[in-house]
Amino acid sequence: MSRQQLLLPLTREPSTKLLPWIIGVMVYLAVLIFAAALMMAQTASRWDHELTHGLTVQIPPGDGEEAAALDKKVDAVERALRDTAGIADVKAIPAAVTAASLEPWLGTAAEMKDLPLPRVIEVQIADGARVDTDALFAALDKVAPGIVIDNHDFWRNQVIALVGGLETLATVTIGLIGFTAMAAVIFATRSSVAIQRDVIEVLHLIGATDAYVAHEFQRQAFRFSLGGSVLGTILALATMLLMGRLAANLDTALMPNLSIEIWQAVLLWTVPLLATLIATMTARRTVLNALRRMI
Amino acid sequence: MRYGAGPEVLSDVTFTLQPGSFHFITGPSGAGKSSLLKLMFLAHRPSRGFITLFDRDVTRVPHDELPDMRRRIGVVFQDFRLVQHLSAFDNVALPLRVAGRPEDVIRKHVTELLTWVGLKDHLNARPPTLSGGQQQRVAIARAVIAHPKLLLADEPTGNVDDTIAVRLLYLFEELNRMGTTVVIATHNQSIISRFSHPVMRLHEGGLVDIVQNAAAV
Repeated sequence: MSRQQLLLPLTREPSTKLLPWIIGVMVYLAVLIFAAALMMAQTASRWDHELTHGLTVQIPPGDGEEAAALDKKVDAVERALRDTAGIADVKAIPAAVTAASLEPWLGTAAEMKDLPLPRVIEVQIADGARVDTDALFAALDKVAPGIVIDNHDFWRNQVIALVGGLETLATVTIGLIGFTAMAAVIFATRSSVAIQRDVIEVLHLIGATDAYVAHEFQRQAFRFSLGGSVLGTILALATMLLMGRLAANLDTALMPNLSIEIWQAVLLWTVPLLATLIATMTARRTVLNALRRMI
Repeated sequence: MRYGAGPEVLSDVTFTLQPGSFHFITGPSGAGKSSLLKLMFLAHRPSRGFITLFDRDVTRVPHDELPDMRRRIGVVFQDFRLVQHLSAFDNVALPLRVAGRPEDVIRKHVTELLTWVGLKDHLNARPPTLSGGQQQRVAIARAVIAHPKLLLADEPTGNVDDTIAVRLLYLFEELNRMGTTVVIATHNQSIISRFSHPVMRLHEGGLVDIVQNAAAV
């Protein structure tokens, strides 16, 4: 006996043949965008943690103030900071290091020696601690008048707003991809039902229920959408692996980490599973709606 | 009964078929034979009046209960209506698969029946590769495979020679003896005259009379 043929082939017609590939491409794009959103959220979280747990204190030199006097002020501020509750670490940046970091913009250290560069102290706040920056400023300003405390709020708020916007954009884009994929499934299923109307009528007349007919389409939709989705996901993961390797060769501190962790890779597999589920249920719903109008 | 907004093609037809009876329907082309069968196999609902089938008024049967009624009806369509991309075996197996019968039972029964109608060597043949007569036998096998309570056949012998036609009629009689109510629409008088069953005569959409087959009398 020959192998049993599909009763109602969903993707036999030219208009529906490309459907598995369309699903594959949609899932490929959705996985990439989802992965980008995950990596972005991870990077933003890291930045947020670093900025929330750090302060920068700047001590500007007074008019004509000698370096030795400024060093004393720095020591005094450093001591005051170490005596402040909630501060885990204090690190005064040597003047030479500050000058070196400004070299690309202001020239060599020798050329900057007459510039009134402020001295910088990096402060690490203990986990779970809160530091009242206003009170801290009032205390330190007595030790070194004209002191500036930067708690990075402005920068952090900008980053949070940007990442929030990009996450919303990613969600909307994935939604649009899902909507387009659903539309493709609906179009293909409707075409297939219309083309095979005669066969469906015969099935009805020999006692097939709407659910039986819908199941014939549904199981094919499941099979091809699962195949397309898995292929799309594998290609997307391969693309990310390639991008991660290319990014690893760059020596840039600001470059976000383009590699994904195991839990993120597992999470990404929810995209093809969800796509398969949506394609299957969309095909079923479309067929049942069409059958309601038939004999 | 009317198709869409067209004229009535069948009107004021009243009759009762006893369970286990065997009737021929005859009449000239356009008399309403096929339309009457379509009403009986639930492809159409009457535009007025009512039809009682298996003790139920079919005009009031909800959509989701129609499949259960249709499984008790076997139909041989005038144009066969075989599924062209399926083999003869799979076409005949359809009513059993739809009813959820096990595949081993399906294989046994379908092979037996196709052998009986002379298509043992064509189990895997698709309809386009079969002759008209062979397709008709596949259609008949599909209609009777599930032992329906009511068998409706529209010109079931139109594409076969008289020898095979008589043989197929014997198959219908065999089913009838097992309790199936049989209604056959045909204008082949030579076939009708060989059997002792009542004949319903239609003309211009109306039932003229139901007569006992003269040859049998």
